Amino acid sequence: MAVSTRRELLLSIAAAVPVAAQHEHPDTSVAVAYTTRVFSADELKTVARLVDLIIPRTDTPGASDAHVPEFIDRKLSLDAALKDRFLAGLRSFDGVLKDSDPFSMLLKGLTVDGYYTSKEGLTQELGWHGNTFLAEFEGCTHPEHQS
Amino acid sequence: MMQTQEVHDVIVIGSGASGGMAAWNLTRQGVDVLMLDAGTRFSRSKFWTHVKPWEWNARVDKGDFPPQFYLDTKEQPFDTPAGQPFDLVRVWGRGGKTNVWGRVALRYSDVDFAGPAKDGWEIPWPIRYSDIKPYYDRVDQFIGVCGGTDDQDSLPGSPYMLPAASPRCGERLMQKAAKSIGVSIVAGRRAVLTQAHNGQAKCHFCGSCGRGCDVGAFFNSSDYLIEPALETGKLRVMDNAVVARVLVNDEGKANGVQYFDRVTKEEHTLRARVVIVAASCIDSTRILLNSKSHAYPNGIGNSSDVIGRYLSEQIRFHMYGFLPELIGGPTQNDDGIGGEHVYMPRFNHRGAKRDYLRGFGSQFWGSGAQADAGFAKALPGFGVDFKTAVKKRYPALVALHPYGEVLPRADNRVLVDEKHLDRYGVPVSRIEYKIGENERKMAVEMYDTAEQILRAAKAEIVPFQRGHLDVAGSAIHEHGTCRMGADPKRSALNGFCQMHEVPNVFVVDGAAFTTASEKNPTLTILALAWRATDYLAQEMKSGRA
Repeated sequence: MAVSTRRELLLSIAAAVPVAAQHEHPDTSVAVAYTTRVFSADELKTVARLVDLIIPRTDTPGASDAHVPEFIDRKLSLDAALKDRFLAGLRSFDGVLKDSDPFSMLLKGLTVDGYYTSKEGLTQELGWHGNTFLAEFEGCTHPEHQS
Repeated sequence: MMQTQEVHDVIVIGSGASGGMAAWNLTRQGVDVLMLDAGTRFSRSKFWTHVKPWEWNARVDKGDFPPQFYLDTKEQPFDTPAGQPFDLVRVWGRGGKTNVWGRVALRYSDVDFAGPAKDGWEIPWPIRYSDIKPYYDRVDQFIGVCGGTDDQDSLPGSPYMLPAASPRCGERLMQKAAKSIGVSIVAGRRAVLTQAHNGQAKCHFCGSCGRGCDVGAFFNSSDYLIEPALETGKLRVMDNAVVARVLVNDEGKANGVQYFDRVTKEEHTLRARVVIVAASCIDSTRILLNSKSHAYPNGIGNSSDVIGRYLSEQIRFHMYGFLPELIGGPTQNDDGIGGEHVYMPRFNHRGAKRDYLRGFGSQFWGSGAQADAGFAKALPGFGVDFKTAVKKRYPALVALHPYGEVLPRADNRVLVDEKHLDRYGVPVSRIEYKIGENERKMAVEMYDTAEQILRAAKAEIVPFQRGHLDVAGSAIHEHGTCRMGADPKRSALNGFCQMHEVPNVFVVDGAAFTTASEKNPTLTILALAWRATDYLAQEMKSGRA
């Protein structure tokens, strides 16, 4: 999948200056503040655009709605080797997400980890309703599934 | 620094399944026990059992952390040769790994106990199923094990099971598919309370056992063994006592231990008539090998040079698929008792003779709706199509995790590295371990079996790399480095976990196993430790120990 232009995507990423990102939460309209630890403002925007290409907003939130760029920033801040790999990949990224491209796959993996453990991704998109208190566990109740 | 001091009846090193069992069974028979635990008690109220995944980061940002169960290798390093990694998982603290264990509670059978005598590889077990069966019965009744009462030669049943957890849809369909190709997948055996049992609370099916259970609804040594033992008034637990060595007298009998305070780093010694080593396989072995003396230059009780050798873990890999009946269906709450509700017992001892020895079984944890969707990384594409593909497959995920036995070999071993000392000046472990041709041949059939079951289920199989195995140690089932056997030249312990050479030392954890089997060892550790300490209590009463 191609994004509009390589030039548009590869913004200046010289200085990794922490910035406060403001996201309007699509469902609750609650502004969530997060101060980046690794990404510059431009890098954060770039990553937001990329993760939304991987998991876009549909009738459920997309990856940036679910704060995946911030999830990635936090993750990179805890792992120097991952941070170096990610930033090097981001800088030389040709703008086209491909399953054969190591950076695309790194980004996809981080996006999957972030989105599908977020409240938006897990509950709204996947319908997960676990980790709760049940009196009994019924298991499979479909007669056609029995051996 | 030697002091005149109290002589304890029994010192137990370690507080996990084996140490907890030893302390509980001895104290209830009137024996005074001092337990040395390398950590402190984990507080249930601080467990993150019900913290949702998206809440974790915000909590950490506020300085609120979950209990640090796992020992940091920076605090306690160990060595491995280049290119031979070993993933050693240790929990130092009250209850040890039972705080977070997988709760799979399988009985070994005579396919396991009599296996080595039959195939001739290395030494035979000194016990058979009939020796340990009464103890399995007692353990099942005491700790509470739910699941299958069905019986087959490789997986004995039990008349004492709590109701089995109902299989999820994916597990039912896998049972059906396996049956169609002649493989049985039975109700699992899990140490989770599907009903209240012996004063412990019933499971509430939240599926987060791996973060510690906030109500103690699965067996853990701290709540189930150590707390009742403390109530007898016969047990004292010393926290943060990192044992370095078992000490011996001039006659070559053990007479105490040397330990270091984990907080102050001060060295101390304690005196005891009997020492029970229960620090988990690798750490127990390290203590024994570091316990060098004039009498035992090679480590206590190790004139045979078997201690440290024959390290057996298990080979394991993972295969995933999506079941057509469930693709695109509704998301169900598949948490259940956490982990799988079914188990595939070993079957390869039946039918045609294989070109390898021993066997494998399979677990199925992670089937159904999970609190993440890691499988999505293996799906192709990006964008709306990708998002849709993930959602459709999410309720349909099934997972197979075959576990295979690794043969005991003398050169798979734990040593102590005199040049690499820990923060207390005690040599660290060096783990030299690799799998061999036998395991690689077994892995071929393990891969074939997993794939055949998924094909029979008409599953969409997640691409896999045939032959790939998890890094050694990942199964967290270390065994064999202080093995029991009848021959003192080829084993360190008798069938009661008692050292041949130093009769007042017992080693009751996974190190005592003659072979690893393909099964999860905790139930057998509990049964062996119970049996060993019944024997010890009798010996003490009769004045022989």
